[in-house]
Amino acid sequence: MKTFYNKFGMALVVVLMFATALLILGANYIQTFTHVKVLNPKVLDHLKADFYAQGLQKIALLKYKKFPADFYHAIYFDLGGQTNSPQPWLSFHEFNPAGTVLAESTLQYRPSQTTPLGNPTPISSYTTSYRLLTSDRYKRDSIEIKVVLEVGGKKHEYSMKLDVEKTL
Amino acid sequence: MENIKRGVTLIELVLAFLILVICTLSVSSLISFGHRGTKKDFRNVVAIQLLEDRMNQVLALPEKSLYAAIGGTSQTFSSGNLLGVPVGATTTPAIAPFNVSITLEKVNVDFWYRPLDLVNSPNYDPDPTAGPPTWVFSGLTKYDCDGKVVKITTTVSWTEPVSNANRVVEVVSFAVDLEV
Repeated sequence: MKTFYNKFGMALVVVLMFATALLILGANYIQTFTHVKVLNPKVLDHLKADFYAQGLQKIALLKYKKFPADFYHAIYFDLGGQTNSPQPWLSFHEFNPAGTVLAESTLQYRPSQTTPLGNPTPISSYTTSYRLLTSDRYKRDSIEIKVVLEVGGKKHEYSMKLDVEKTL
Repeated sequence: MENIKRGVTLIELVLAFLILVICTLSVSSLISFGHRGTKKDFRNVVAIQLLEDRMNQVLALPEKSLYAAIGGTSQTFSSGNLLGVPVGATTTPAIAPFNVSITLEKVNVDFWYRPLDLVNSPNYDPDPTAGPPTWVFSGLTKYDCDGKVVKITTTVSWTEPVSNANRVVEVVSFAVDLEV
C-alpha cells in the first residue's frame, strides 16, 4: 500500500495567511490614524469658538455695565408685554449672520465695518443675548449672557451667569 | 510499502519568501506613513496647546496695560515678550521650531440703545410688577465706546520638517476694560 502525503503548496498557503494578517493590521492602523487626524481641526475650532465667545461676553457685559438703567427699562418693557414699536429690548440682542452688522445690535465696531470682527477666525455667525434670571427690583439680580457661535459648520453655545448688586 | 513524504520545494520557498517580503515592505511603508502622520498631528496638538497657553496668559493681563502697549491702532509682537508673555521662537525645537506672535488692535465699539423718554412718560412707574409699563422710549442712540476693547490675535506658526509646508493656527479674543 502506498501512502501519499501531498504537501505541495503548503508554504504558499502559510505565507498568504501571514500576509493577509499583516495587511489587516496595516489597514487597521491606517484607519485609527485617519480618525485621530479628523479630531485635530475640531479641537482647534472649539478653541477658536471658546476664546471668541469669551471676548463677546465681556463686550456684552461692558454694555450692561454702561447702561444698566436702559437695560432694566428695556427688559421690563418687554416683560410687560409691550410689543409695539420701537422695541428697546432689541438693542440688547445681536444677530450677526456672516459678519454683517445690524443697525440695532449689541455690538458694532469701527473702523472696519466690512471686515468680520472675528477675522481671521472663520466665525460664520454669532448671536449675543441677555436673560434676566431672577430680579429683586433693581437691587440684586441674576443675569445670563448667552453667546451662540457657528464655527466650522458646528454651533457652540456659551452662557455666562452673573450676580449683580446695585451699589450707591 | 513506500512512504513518500514530499516537503516544500526550493521554488515554493523562494516564492513564499518573495510574497512575504512584498507584504512586509508594503505594511512597513504603511506604518511609516502613519507614523509620519502621527508626528505631524503631534506637532499640531503641541501648537494648539501653545496657542491656548499664550492666549490665556495675555487674557490674564490687565486690560489697561494691553491698551497702553499698542503703538498706533494695532501692533504685532513677534519677538521678546509682551508684558511678560513670551513671544517669538519657542524653546521646543525637538518637536518643531514654533513661532508665536501676538497682534493687539484697538477696537472702537459702538453701543446702540433706546433710552427711556421720562418727559413723555407721565405714567412712569419703576415697579415692573405694577402692570404693563406705558413708558415711551427715545430713538436709537449711539454711544462711542472707545478705549475699552482690545482685539487679541494669537498666532502659532511652524514649518513641517519634510514637506517644508508652512502651518499656522490662530485664535481671536477680546480684552475689555470693564471699569465704567
